[in-house]
Amino acid sequence: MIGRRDFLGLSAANLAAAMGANPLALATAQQTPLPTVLKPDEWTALEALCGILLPPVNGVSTRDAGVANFIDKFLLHEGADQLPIYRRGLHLGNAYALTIGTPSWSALGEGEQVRWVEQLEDGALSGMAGPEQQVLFQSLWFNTLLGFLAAPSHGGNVNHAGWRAISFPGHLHMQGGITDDEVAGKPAE
Amino acid sequence: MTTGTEWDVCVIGSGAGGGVMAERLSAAGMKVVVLERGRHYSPDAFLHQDELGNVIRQDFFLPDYRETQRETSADKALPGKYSLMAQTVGGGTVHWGSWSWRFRPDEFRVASTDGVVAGSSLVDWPIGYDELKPYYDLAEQTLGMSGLAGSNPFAAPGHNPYPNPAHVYRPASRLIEKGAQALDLHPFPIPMAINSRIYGGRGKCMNSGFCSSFGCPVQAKASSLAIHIPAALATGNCTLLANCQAVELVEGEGDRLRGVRYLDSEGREQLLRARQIVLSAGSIGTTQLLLQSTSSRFPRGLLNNNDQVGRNLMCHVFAMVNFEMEAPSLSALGPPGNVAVDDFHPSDSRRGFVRGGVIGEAIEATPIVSALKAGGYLRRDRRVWGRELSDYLSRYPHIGGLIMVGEDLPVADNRIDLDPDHRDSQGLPLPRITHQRHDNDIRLARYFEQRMGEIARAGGASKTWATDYTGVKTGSGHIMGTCRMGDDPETSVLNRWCRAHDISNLWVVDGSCFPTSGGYNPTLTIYANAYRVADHFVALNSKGELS
Repeated sequence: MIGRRDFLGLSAANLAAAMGANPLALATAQQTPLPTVLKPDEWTALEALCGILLPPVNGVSTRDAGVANFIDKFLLHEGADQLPIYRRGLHLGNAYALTIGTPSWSALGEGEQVRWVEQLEDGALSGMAGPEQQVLFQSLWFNTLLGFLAAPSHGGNVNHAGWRAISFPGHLHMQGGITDDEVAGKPAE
Repeated sequence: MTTGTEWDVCVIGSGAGGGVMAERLSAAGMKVVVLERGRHYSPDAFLHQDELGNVIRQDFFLPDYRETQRETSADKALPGKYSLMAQTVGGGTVHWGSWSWRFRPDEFRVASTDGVVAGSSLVDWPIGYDELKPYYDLAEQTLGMSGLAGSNPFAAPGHNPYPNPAHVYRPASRLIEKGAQALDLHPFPIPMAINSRIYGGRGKCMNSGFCSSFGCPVQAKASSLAIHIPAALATGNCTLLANCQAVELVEGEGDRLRGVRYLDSEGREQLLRARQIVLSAGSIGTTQLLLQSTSSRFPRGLLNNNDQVGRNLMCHVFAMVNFEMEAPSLSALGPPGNVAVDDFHPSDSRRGFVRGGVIGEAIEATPIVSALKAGGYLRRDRRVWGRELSDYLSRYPHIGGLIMVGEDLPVADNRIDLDPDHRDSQGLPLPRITHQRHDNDIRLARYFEQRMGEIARAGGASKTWATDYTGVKTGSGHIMGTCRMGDDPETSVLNRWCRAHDISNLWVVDGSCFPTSGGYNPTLTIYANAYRVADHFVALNSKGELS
């Protein structure tokens, strides 16, 4: 497993390369949107975590975009070596919720969830090594953005939800491109 | 296994250098074989690219590639994908951004212009601008350049008109133009090898974005895939072997090579014999192949008895400033960038650094890359999440950018060698990148960050923010040096014709030969230099001087 120092020292572009190439995850994402590796309680906690990291953008949520599905497929294949750390982190969250009388992490209030994620980013939660928490945070943050904005074929950005949220038009060459006037910002006739 | 044919020329690599050499030599009647380790894509395959695959994971053009990287020789090199050079027929010209500039005359004689800079290995080129000028003309016509010749008062002199008009400006371009004019600067259209109209049998740009790091599905963007390799094949004298990886240059009698050992598409070892060998695998691939080719005569790798192979690796230095504007920027659409400012290019040591660079409107901001820069907008590197991240993403349609391509100084210890600890799936050592920025590079980048912010604000941007790009190294795709050309065999690897000093039938025709990096994107100069070398090669051959 990649160490925290190494992980954090990588550029964003190389981060993904270090986390593995994608073809297997992509193929599975195209086969099923259902959980393949995460258990129901893990999936629910992950969806809630992604929603805290990236709240709705122009009304489009990470749940709308299927971000948890993107991560599930990643953890099944190329990111399989990270599954244990995800699993430990998600269970840590659910266990924390129980200690304060809430049935699961996803049932916590938003303020409580935000404080928990802040501690995760700082590696300050008890019950898990600090550097491991920070690796998990970096991976969660990165994969949440990928799941929201990567092409739908990878399992997230369902029905272009993420792209619609930021008004990104997508792959226009599939639609014949656009005119010079449109690029110039002139209204279409 | 040895194939029976002895080719006149074997070209290894099919990018800017290899594509031109294959085309020109086969057109002159020589029997040419091109070895390319990557796949031969049909343009329609580029309809299926996406940002995650091409930009973030890089598994479209580099599916099986790994290398290692470190800052200094004291550090442990980590494996990954760092260099952004497509391994495919057409090489880096398939996914390049296509900005195409001529180096200024002073960029061929930097040592003479700026003198000694401590910690650098500055030298003059053995050739000058005047020698390359006719080949720049040829390259610009062949590539179907768009732009407005004469519009940049700081450019190299004597430009012929470009074959195509400049692309239209998007709103973000106009903001930059307005800001530059308000500061009495001289904005002008970026010269680009993208058709602004149908030209050369290739289509007009569809304005769809996805240019830099992507192949063009309509081939409006010029490339060796679209132009030079098809022309070479059309001569009937050229054979292309894709998915074939050269692994050793095999020595023959005297000071000659006798061929190339390579792995074919099935992974079987083959030996190919050729009278002349042209190595055009890029600064990393070329170095890797030379260092893998050892013998009693060259125990440290071919051509490396003077320990110069792999040294003086350069990759440009970059600065990046984004801005927010009131109207939609439309930065994701159209060709990659449109407007440039070159007023700060001339070297002036009174600024606290030598050399300079060109400012251009940033290439299209694809969504993931834009999202990953949220920390710059929020001006922090922690707590880059939550509602402020969502707010930043919601501003995506109004964000534009400026980027500076700056001349980085050559440093002898910045180099490619073979990693002793990591091997690829074939058991070959991975190339190891060792690169640490010279302080001059950092000072140059910081200066340009300030200038770019001023331009954007003068144009009406409501907010500007810089992202530190000085850490971007070989990932720029602007990988140069490692096999310097020069007149002194003790301090260089190649002569002025890119012919090896130590092996008479070996030529290196790619960015490896650059003694210094210039303050512009390098590909047009690689193309022009390849045309120059090809003319010389053909002339020697016609006189019977290439046995």
